[in-house]
Amino acid sequence: MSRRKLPRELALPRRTLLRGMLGGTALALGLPVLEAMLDSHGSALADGRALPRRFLTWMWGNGCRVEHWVPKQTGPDFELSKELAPLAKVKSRISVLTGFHNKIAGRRGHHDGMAALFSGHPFVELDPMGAPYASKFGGKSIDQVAADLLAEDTLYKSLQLGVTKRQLKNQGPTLETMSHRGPDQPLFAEHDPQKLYDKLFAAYMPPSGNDDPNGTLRFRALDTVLDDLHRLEARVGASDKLRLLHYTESVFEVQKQILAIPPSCNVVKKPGKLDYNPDGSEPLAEIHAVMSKLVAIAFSCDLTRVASVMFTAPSGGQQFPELTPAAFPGFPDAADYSHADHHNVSHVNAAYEQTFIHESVIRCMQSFAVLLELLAATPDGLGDLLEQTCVLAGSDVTEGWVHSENDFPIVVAGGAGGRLRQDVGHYRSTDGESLSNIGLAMLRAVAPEPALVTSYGSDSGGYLGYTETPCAPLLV
Amino acid sequence: MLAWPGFAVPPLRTFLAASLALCMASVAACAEDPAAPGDPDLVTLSTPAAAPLRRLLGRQYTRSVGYLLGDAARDAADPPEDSELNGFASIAASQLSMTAELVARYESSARAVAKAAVSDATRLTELVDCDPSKAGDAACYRSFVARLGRLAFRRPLATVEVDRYTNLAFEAALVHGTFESGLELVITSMLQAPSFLFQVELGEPAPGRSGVRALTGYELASRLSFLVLERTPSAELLDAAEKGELASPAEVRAWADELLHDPEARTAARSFFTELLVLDDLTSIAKDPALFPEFSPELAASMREETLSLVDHVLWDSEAPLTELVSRDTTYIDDSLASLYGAPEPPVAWQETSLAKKQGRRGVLTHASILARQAHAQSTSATYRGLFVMERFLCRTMPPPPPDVVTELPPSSAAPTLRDRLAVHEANPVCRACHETADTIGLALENFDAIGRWRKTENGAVIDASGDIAGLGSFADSAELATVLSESPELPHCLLRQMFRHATGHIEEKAEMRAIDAVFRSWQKKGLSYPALVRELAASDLFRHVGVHDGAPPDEVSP
Repeated sequence: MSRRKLPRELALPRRTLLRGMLGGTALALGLPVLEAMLDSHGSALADGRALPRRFLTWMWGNGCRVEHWVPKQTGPDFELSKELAPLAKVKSRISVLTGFHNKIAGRRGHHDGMAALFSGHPFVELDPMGAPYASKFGGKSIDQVAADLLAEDTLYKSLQLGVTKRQLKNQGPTLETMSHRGPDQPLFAEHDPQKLYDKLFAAYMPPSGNDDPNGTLRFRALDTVLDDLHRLEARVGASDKLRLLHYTESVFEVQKQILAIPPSCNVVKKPGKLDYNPDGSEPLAEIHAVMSKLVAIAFSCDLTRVASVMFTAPSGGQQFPELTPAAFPGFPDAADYSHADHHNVSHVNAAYEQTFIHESVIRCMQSFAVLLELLAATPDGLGDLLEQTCVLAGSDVTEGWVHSENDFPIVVAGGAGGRLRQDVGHYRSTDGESLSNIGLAMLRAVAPEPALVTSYGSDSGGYLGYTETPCAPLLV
Repeated sequence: MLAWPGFAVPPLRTFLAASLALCMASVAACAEDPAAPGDPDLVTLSTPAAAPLRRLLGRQYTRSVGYLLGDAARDAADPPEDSELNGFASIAASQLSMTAELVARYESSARAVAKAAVSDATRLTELVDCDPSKAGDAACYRSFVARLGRLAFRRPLATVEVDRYTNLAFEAALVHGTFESGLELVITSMLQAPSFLFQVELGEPAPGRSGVRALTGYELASRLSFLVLERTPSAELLDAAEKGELASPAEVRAWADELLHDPEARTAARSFFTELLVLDDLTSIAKDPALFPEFSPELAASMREETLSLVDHVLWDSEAPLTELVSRDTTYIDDSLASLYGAPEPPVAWQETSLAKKQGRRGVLTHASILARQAHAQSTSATYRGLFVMERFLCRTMPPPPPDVVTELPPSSAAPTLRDRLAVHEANPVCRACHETADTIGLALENFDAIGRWRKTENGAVIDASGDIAGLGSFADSAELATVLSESPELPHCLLRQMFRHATGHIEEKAEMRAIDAVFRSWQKKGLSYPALVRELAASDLFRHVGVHDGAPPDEVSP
């Protein structure tokens, strides 16, 4: 394989400058977000390009209760179901999609859903010789396809955020994260809002002491890493060559981050520490609210254009401590599941347990609403961030107690810069349409040019994730 | 599976019977070539799998930094968290690649380590053996680069590499005007290099064998040191490699023994068993505070310490058979565990203690650590516990539940004990095929609740912990289950496979099974102790060789 050397001048984003050219002077902070980059009308960037589009995936674990999720009417005038009711304030900005089929299902509950909803590629099973089961994604997740389309100019290609830490870590990357560059590159989420903050704003902090303020030496150290990679590449077999290629690309990306000067941005205060509650539960809503703000800022400042948020985990043991028996007046003898593992309760097919699951879905949608309302309240150009964003939200199963895999709960939100229709309301597919069609529509909506995306997903071993047919009603 | 006439020692026959039972249960899993080589001597020659590049585990990285650059540097190390595949971090380390996030993390860790290292004059003086004011900066940088590079990369550096790192040192010295800044940048750079971060096991041609390559002395030294000490090999071990003193099985066995006598071998073994027994995250698991008010991260830490204390004693006190991990009738507790177990407080924490016989506590399976970890937040799980024993001690697995299966169990009002509730698994052939063994093992541990407290009844009904597992035997309670498991050759055979998986970063392939069985027989002859396991595995043909990668260059480019 020939040496893939980054042609430095060309590879650096148009908007960014080498720090060295400014001699490491402090950045101008406090400018209104993006204003410096807009043209005089505020409707496009100063260099004539369109305002950036953003892409966001969001999930909660263990599904919904279909009877309380699916709206009774279709079309724009549908009434929000009980589980969708928290989205009332953004109802005119969302589409509820039901009736879609998972065409790669049938191997392993939760894994099937994660792979179908967030990649369209059948996942890769690793189940040899009596070792514990594990699986990896079969290809790029949808957010990473979007990142390749959107992110060449930004400091970070994408962000991965996780709210609950009570997730399964022994079944492989498929259940651990929504974001995958490919089978050998799962992108694990940041769970600590403070660390997320540090990552976003590190480049805005004045360098400490005499520690290589221009990043030149750090860059040079990574050059020797590339030299070492290059020597190694000549000696290894095909599969390791591919891994080293991904390694090399990752080094390029970090080199770019070191030398890039990030765009002007309002640096906010660092959030406080948020971790487990003393009772062992997690402040899910609080953590999510802080992370939502950071996502809105990161989008608004154009630090990144792509993010994934795992609110609660597939097959996860998240707890909902506010759901004590007192929250269920209809069940006088209710067991206390406020500190039970969610996945375990989801499997009990009894009236109270499933009512508990129903209430937990409402809690998840309340948090999702916080994020959408925040994006809708954040100005971006002449409109708001939600108008520029394409949001895909869903869960890893339809109903947890049977691991059912068709009719997944899915919400699409935002306008994708005028490409995504927001007057669809509730769209119910009745002909067994593939989930992948939704993914393809989202990518066409968010791409710089829709024609850049002609297909999505793949087929493998009789599992059919490939599509060339976008879900047309979503597109303008 | 592994029968060839006149070769199996008696205990292995028992194991074969067990394997046969397994085969009948799962025909597909056993559809492999049963042919044996004609010459029994060839049995020890292996057909090893090719070894992918394997990223150092977090703990291997940190311990290596400590060995290379001292304690202050070690404390500054901040490697990324390990992922896990098929039960081991080392398998994920062999399959996953780098991401920008990981590269950035290694970069910031390397800078922090380098900064700490240059402020620790003691260690630095050992690595910089010349006075730059006399010998000149260039000569000093060169010797430092060669010395640190050999230890960090586990091989001598090529001249072109020495040149490159020396030039880098000068670049930093020009910017900052100090000799140390050059050292700092060399450290920063080397600790991010794939030659440090990855175990490279490409081997060299093995005379007279095709499709097989022998690990070079340096590669073997690394594989051995990262297994036994979880760090980069010492200068002495690298010297031995350089002199060709790791060429014969006897030499490798002797070096394995040498490393086992290093106190760091105990820390390393603790890490391996923490991983094998799934105790890493014990202090952050969830338990319902209303049901288990005594459960806390501190109690969980004591639970883990009990198990690791038993591991220490079984491994190192008397070189006992590893099966005693499961069968020991004594344990090691502190006051908080005494209270949990209803035992008198020990005069001194973590001294050997006997617990009340009626509780049936024997070995790690009856430790609160494993019992609590393999349970739900509010209740026990016979399936979790049973599957844990199957996967970790028997190397058996369980297929997934079929799609759309209703996993509903009856309420406890109708079925007071978990055995009553799991009767649906027993009654439904779809469930029973897979759940039978796991549930039977798990139900034998039902006298211990979701945090490991002993109980005689559940919802007022007496718990029946008896069972019978095809190929293993029958038992009346948890203590007898421990005996049955520890007497089965399937258990140590599986422990060997687990260590092999961890050591090589892959699940053993079918073509490797014969060689694994050969290691197993020699380990059995040596008494099944941990040190014997390490020595026999390390000296084996399988450990010292690798297969050939698809698409590998025909002849090696010189390093």
